[in-house]
Amino acid sequence: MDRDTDFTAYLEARQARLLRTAYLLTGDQHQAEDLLQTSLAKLYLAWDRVRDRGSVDAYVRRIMVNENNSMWRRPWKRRETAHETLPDTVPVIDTYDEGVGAAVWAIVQTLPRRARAVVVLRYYEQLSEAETAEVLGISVGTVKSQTSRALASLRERTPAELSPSDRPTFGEEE
Amino acid sequence: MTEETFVRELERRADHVHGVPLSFDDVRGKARSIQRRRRAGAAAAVAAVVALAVVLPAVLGGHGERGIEPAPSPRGDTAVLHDGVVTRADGSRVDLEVDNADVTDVTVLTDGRVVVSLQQPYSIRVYRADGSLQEQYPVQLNMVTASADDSTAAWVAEDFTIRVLESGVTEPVERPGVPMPGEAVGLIDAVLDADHLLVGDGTTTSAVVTPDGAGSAGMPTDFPTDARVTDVSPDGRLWALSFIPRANQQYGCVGLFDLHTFTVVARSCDVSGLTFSPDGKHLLGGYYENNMIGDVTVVDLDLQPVGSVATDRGSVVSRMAWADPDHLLVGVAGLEDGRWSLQRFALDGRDPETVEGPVDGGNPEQVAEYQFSE
Repeated sequence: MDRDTDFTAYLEARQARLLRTAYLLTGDQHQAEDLLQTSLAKLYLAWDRVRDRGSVDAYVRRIMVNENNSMWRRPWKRRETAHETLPDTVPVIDTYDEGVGAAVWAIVQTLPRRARAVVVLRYYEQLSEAETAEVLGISVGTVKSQTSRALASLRERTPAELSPSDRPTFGEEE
Repeated sequence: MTEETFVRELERRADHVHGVPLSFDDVRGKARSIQRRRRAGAAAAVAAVVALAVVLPAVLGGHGERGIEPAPSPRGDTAVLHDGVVTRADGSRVDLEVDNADVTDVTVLTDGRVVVSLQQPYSIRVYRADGSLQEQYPVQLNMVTASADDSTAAWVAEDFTIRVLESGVTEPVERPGVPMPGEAVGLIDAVLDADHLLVGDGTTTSAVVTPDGAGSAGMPTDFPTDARVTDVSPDGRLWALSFIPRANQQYGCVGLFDLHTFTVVARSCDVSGLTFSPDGKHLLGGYYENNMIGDVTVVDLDLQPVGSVATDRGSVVSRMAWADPDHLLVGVAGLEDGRWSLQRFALDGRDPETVEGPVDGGNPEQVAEYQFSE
């Protein structure tokens, strides 16, 4: 199979999933599409040395994370900051989960970009800690600590009334 | 809040995302655009700046059992790291999977390998000449110090010993650590060669590390006890010094120590942070403050000013280096607009020429979008 045919096959098979990952990393569909196109273009440029390693997905995820961090820095006035408080908006209450999902998503979007990348790779891409560490170029210990911190942050910042643990479960309702 | 809730919500959000599928032509077109930008920007521009480029050895595999064939190269071949691409002095380029925001030092060895020290992850990475990662090393200090001829790079490893990586040798060798009290981390001030490193506590240079040990016995006679070596001349005769600031000084003075006479032959309190030009006839200095450099000045061997670099109003110098014996390379950032450029100046600070940019970039207090090799 020649180079371009090989790449096209990968593109068709994987881009839908990669776009979703890009969306979770950026939180915005237009940014996600830009991120995906740039990342795939960089993958294409490196295709010859990447495709035979059996780790194309890992390579492109790494490009996406790095590129996302870079995109966010340009221009520098938009440099990321972690927010301790959530935007003052009314949470959207979904009928099926009483608004938990919307609240979680709002919190995810306030995580620092690198922390968000860790949790997206761990919990959406379902990568192991070691695989996540490899993609992000950080230690397994850092993955553990960032994951733990992100989840703790999510627990702390989820409004109590939306936390499943604070709601009565079946059998407890009066 | 459980992990399951979190996973479910991520999947639910993602499942609703459907974009217009990218075609192969879309991606290839973007790739060509990136390629053009890289070529037109870093490669062509820097290659033009360093007109009398030193021919580096051909790109080698670099990871065989017998290591890498060394090819000595004169000093002066400044390489530039920008936007994930290292442009060597001869114009050859290599892609590196690094972000300038994470990079603290870059060194290009004469065998073509690139040694990068990183803030995140806190480590030293050695990349092969083709840009692939050879190895990542944990460190106590994310600093790389290179010899004047770029044949050797050294750093302080996680276990406090020194690691020395020579051009042509695949793996770094271990050397004794910097003599320091307790678990304090010492600095490698200068690499004379693979077997002789000047080290100290970051304020003064106080010992020489060799394969056999580390101690002050190897220091030259009459070397000042209040000075740190900041650079070594290409011929090895002169050491540029930085003296401990006195009570009424913010930065302290600088000087030159002559190894033939064992005396300080020049001294100035009007410049700081000296590095020798490739021909050893001049020095470049400036005041490092908040990740930027002020008062960029060229001085002669008497430490008398030859010229200074003035940037446009509203812009600052991020990094500086020697392009060749007669020109400087300067990374310039606009404080207001975040626009970066790579500029070249003559020795006297005249004839500014923008050789790349302007391009968007980060806050110069936090990132150097143009990193120059040590």
